[in-house]
Amino acid sequence: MRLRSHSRLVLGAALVAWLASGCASPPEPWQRSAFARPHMAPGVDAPSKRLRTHVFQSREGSTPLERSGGGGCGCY
Amino acid sequence: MAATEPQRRFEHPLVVALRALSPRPAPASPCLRALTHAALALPMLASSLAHGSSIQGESTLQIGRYQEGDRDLFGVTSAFEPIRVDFLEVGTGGTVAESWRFDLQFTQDTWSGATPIAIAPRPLQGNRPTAPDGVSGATPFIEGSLYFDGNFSVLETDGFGNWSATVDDQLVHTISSASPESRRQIELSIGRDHPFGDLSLSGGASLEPDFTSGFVDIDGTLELDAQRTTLDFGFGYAHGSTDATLDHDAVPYIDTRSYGSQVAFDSLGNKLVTGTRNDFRLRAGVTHLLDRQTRLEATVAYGHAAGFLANPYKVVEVAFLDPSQQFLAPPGGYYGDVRALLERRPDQRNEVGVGGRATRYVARTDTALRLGYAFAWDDWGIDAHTFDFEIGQPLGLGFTLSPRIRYYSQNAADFFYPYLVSPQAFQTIRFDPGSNSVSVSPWNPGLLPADYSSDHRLAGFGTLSGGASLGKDLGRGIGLSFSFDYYSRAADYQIGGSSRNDYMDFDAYTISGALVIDLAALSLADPGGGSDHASGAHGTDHSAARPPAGVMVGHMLDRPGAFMLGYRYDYSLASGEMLRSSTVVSDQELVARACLPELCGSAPQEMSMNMHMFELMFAPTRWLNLMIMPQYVDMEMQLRPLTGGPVDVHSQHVEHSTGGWGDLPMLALIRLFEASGQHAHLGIGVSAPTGSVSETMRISHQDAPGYIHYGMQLGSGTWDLLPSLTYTGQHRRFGWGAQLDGVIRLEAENDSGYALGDRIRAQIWGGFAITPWLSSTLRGVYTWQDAIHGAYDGIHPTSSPPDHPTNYGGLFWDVGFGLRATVSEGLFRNQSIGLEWVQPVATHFNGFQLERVGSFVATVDLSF
Repeated sequence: MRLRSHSRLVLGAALVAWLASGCASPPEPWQRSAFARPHMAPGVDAPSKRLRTHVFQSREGSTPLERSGGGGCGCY
Repeated sequence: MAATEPQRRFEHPLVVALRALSPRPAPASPCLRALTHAALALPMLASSLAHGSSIQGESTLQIGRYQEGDRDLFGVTSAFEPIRVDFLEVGTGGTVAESWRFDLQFTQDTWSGATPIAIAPRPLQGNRPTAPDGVSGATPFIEGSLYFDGNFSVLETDGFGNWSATVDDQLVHTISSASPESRRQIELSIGRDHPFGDLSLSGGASLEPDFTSGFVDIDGTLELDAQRTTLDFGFGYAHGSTDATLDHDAVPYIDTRSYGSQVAFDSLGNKLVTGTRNDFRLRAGVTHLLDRQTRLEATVAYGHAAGFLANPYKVVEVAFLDPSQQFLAPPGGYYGDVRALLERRPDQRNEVGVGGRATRYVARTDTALRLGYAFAWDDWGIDAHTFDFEIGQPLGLGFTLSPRIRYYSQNAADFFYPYLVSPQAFQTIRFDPGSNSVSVSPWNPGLLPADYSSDHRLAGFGTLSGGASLGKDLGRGIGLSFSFDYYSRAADYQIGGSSRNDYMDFDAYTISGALVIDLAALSLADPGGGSDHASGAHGTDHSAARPPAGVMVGHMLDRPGAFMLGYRYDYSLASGEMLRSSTVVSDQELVARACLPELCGSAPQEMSMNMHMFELMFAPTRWLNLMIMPQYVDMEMQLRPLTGGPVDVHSQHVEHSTGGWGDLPMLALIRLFEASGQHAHLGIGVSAPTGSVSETMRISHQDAPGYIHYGMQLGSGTWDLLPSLTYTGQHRRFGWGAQLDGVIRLEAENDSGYALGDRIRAQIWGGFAITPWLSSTLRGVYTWQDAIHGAYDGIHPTSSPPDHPTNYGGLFWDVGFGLRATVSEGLFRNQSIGLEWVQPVATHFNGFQLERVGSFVATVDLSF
């Protein structure tokens, strides 16, 4: 598996951004009201997201971050 | 605490997470220890409050459609409808015991329409632009001739072997079509929550006619650092089996010799391509709360697939430059004998993906912003980038709008070729005059790439999609959302791409609606609990008070303002012998009499039907309930040749399946009588003809056979009257009831020229409550169904009994054996689950029909 130059660049930028995130102040438990808002939840709008993901999986060549379960042949 | 805060502020989250895993010294004083424990408990409390309760449960119903637009065939108008996929998803889950939870989900996709099977230069005329009607609709050409100049540029031809000096290098997809086909998937997940994480095990199966797979996943999370950081991991394994029947029309033209023993023939002479594959996937992620408004997520995943990874319906066009045929070549050029080879892919694939997502809350506008990026690469040579951005914005009055945009780009797989040119003969035939033997040498695989595919999903391209979801909180734990997304694929959207490959461009849209019921919130909103189902149930209601699962519109809601949401699944199967009235008939009799005035060539061997019905009931008053029942149906039929009958190639080799939305019944239920545990109501309504009655058989053998069998249309095509009269009673642990209902066609014929026969049904049942929540039921059913009136007004096959209107309807006696569970407390309170097997007892068909095996009905309903 090889990486093209622009791919390496994007990957490196993401890594730097993640390392830089350590400079912020993590919130205490009583400071997390924003994360309790329904539209901030990680699984918000989950049904339509599942449907869209299924469409992407059957129309695109690469979706390795999705779960393995089922999915079907996708032969069409 | 204050002394340590400045230090932690500058520590990386991963360092903090690692420290959380290591033993810590206990706080110095009991007071500080108590405060520390209280602080650690807060996030768990907050999490519970966020979900309304520590007990959680959710039921989901989603329907959707994916619709592609027409593809550009460069001068050819395709008669095939573009690809369409209908989605259905039903799921429920929740806490079943302390810390244990389950989720059960059923999904179904039914797809139909045109799909690319190959790519070829336009001069090959794969989409048959010279079809007599000027419209391409018949079986495409996947072999032919190409003429190249000295630079291997393709020369224009007139379709009759005459080339011109004009170069025409335009590539174009070769389009074919297929009958509707359904994939069904069921998945069960069982998990256990722990204060510091959770673990779940899920497994399921995905079934479609040509591909089955079973899968298992283990997923877990681990909370660290007072839930500031969450690690998550997953392992998945899937095993899939391909059993693909090649298009009978195309079989003679598809070269499968490189697949060796993976190619076989069934008893009807259909050519099968078989294979298995195994997929493993590992995933790990971390979620970190960066500050009071920002959450960061990072994921890395590795996937390994091994086995048969090719698409059994895609071919690659290869122009064989046979030295012995070059006398046909243009001066200085080449002549190509074009053949279609079943595509080949490597038997392994290793993929790696990394992704990150940032979610930021903007307090001033109460807005959630999500930005994500993922990068994936594999040893097939595909690099893929995905960017997405979404906004979550509450609008007030319970509405939330979530617009989004997504960009995706991939480069082509190493073995993607629009088509190939190979300097060799497709096959060489040698005559040995001495022994009078003939030997045939096929093409040399060594002169072709080891792997080759023209699947457009392995090409280089980009996609841009955007859409929005509009959610509405209806209160009482009920949420409704509608989504629309537009999806556009284009060659020049690819990073570094160009418009040269724009022949593969297309656009599509996805539309969906979802109903999500928060069972915990529903329980809190209706603390009184208890059943709202009537049937004379006041005060002493138990599961025997409800009719068996197979009885429709058998009960009413008591409380004004009450709702009921129900899901009904009905599977029916006919298989075995062909009957005339109730007598088994021979093939010879079928040939001679079942298709008059013609001879029958085939007969049904098995027919199955799946119906998914959604029942929405509302009680504006106690005496009046309103119902609407959208339904989705799909049917499959296999036929067999009749001994002594004429050859019927369509019936024997072509898939017989249909699927889609059926008719839409709308009813009013009027309470007539209610006293002493007894109840009666009148049902009156209509069925709107929303189901298609113009489903056709797949085009094959160079022509279109026309309308499919009457019984496989999706609706009646007529407005129908639906009267019913229902009586129920109960005493102590016994329940009983009776119903008379009918379907009266209000029109003499539908748009296709016929009308289904009227139907009258009478049924009686009894139930016994084994426990307060579980009852058994026994039901007797008498049904009279008239034959079809009129006939198709267009072309349709006539070589099989179900092609003839007189071979429909009859008199039927059935017995149903059922169970019903009604939950009266807990998270799933007010839910009722019914199961019933309906066994045919006596059958008197009109004409010649396939023996009935029985039907299975399952219902789940929730009242609130």
